[in-house]
Amino acid sequence: MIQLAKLLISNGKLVNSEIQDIEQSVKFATESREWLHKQKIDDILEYIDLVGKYWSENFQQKIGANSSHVKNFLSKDFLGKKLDIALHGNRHSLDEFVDLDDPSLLFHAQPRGISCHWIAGNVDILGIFSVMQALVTKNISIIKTPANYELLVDMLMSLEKINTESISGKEILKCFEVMYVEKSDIKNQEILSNSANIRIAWGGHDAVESILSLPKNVFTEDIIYGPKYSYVIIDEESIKRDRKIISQKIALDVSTFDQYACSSPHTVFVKTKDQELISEFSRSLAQAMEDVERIMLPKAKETEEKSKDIISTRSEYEIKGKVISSKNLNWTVIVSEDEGFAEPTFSRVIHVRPFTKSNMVLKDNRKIQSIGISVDNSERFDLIDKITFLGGDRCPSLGKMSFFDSPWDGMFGMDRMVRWITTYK
Amino acid sequence: MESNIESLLKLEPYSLSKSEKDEIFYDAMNESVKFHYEKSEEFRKICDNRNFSPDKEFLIQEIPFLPVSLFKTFQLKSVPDSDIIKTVYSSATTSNSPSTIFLDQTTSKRQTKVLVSIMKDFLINKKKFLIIDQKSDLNNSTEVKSRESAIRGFFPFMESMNFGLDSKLKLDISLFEELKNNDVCVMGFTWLLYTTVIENENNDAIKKFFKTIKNPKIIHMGGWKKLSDKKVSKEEFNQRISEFFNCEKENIIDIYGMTEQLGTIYPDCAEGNKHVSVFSEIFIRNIETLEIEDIGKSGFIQLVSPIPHSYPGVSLLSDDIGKIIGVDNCPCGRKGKYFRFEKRTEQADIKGCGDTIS
Repeated sequence: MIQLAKLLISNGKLVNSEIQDIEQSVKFATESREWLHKQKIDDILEYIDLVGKYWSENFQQKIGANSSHVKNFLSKDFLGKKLDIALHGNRHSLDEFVDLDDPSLLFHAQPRGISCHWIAGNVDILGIFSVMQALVTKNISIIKTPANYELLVDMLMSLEKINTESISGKEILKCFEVMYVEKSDIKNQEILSNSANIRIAWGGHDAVESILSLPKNVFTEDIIYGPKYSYVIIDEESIKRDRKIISQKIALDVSTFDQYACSSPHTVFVKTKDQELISEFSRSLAQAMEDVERIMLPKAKETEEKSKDIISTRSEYEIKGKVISSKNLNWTVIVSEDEGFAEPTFSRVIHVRPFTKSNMVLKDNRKIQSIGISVDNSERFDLIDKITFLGGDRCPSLGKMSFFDSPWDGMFGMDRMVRWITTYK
Repeated sequence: MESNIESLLKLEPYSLSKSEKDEIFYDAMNESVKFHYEKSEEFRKICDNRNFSPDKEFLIQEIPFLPVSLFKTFQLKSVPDSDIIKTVYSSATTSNSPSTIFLDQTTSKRQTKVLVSIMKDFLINKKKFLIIDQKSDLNNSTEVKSRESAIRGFFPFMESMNFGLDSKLKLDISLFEELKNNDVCVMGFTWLLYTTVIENENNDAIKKFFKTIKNPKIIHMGGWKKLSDKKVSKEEFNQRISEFFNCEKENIIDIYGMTEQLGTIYPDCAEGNKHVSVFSEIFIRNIETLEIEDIGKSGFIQLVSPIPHSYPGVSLLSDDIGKIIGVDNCPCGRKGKYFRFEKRTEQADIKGCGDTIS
């Protein structure tokens, strides 16, 4: 049976029609490479700055908690600084040869070419960040959307309305080919993979493995975002000092993306032997979970399968520990003395456990991504060094765990998106 | 003095209207819940966590439910090990581990009593049973699979028992040829019965044999999961079964029940509705809010019964989705609630970069 892909945006236009193969799309993407290469990085950054503001204003509700972060991350100052860091100190290496203080060499960062993004359904907004990183490094993007592609398409189509003095939105839009391709549509998945100079995969274990097993050019760079697990460490002093604020920030981290992102925490480890303090903190966290759900981030509708999981987890820990939860299935705080990482239930189920020496947090685990941390500064850097030697990619402050950053998953993505050219001085 | 539970067991299964049943059922549940609260540490912890005290007045729907998954992770008992006479293992359909249910003499007797009482309303006379399954060791071993346990429950209705499948699960007419021209009840597990019918649709010898059986009763149980996966509807199932076994569709009885609450079964009436007997209660819970749903609205099926004595399975939240169709007014004449099963929920499928386990 012939499988059809759904072409959503192509050659700068909204298409929304079914096609047998995506070769033409790849051709359009290739044709736009030269135009993008000629644009100056400062002009691109200025354009993206405007995009961030536009999206934040016009898609605020749909983007949710990440809306202000989208604006901040895409601002010229912030993204420009991140780009400088990723490109070894000078963003203008994207335009010309620059001096990076090497005694004999000059450096020029060339875009790799076509970046293919496989975006996961749970975190479609995170996918926007990889797409924007591709644009700022002058790479064309072919985006394989998740089945729920409406927001992504709307956001990208809005580019044609955004213009600066130097860059036309209509031209920029041609730098994005957007389509929905079924996982089982091997033919088109292979065309995607073979056409990619950079493969960027967001997703769970199965999705990532399936993408990695597709044929690719030997020179293609792979950037894998996920599958990862995140958690939080807090100490006694920070609870005593800022219990309410810490609780609110953790509740925000748990509730953003309904805990389906790789950066969403599933376990809070508390460094204390004081059981009463843990109980006090758990009650405070429960109140914060309720407040965040009610005021800031209403819970998305759940499937009956997920409801069943939540009910099972709650009951299991009613026997093994203590469960504080909403009357419905909106949020759950589980306190137990279990060791190690809690099995993720997702959907705003957060475990509170004691931090013990024998805990798995100090064991080798490359699946760890974000470790939200609030411990005394005198101890923080030593603790982070000890933990991240064995796994863990970033240790953000609480409340910012799901804010995309560079580096992400231990990589400077923008650096991986360019080829470094050298010549002598 | 006779216990409230024993008094309940003496009632006719569909003889009471909802209002007549409520008080008697409450008394039995009150007795049962108090017993399990005292004897089962796990049940007590769950009650305490949900601020439920059996010593205060409560509504039946307020009795904390245990999701059936708990029977896969905990060995739940309300009696000493020395009282356990049988252990029943469910088939592991939607997960890898089976439920484990511990039965004592009291529970076993109650289960048999209510099952016989319920089925008497559907099977008036004893019949020769043709079981569409391979011959199984139904002796009194202490470890029993739920399929075997279900067959055992029907012993009181069996004049004789023939297994129709050979060791390779293929229909073998020589195993039941003697049933020719008799009053027969065919019994099987839903998916196995259907598979057998499909495999033998062109088997003239078998078809000819069933033409000699006049309008047999067909009893099937065990769930629709495998057939739903194959997109087989209940209508299609009944049509094929009716044609193959030469019976009227009204004679096909789909029995809903759970290993975790054996005995209190829910057979289809001629109208296709499942009836709740006086021995149990059914609630439908909204899948997001867990509130009790009104008639006609779908949700998780909660099953409440005072029958379990050896384990605290008196209020269970199943993985099944169903809806209440009505109360006291089914055209079949049976009183009480009646409902329909819709589907079994699957394992949640997590997709995305957070899809990882520690």
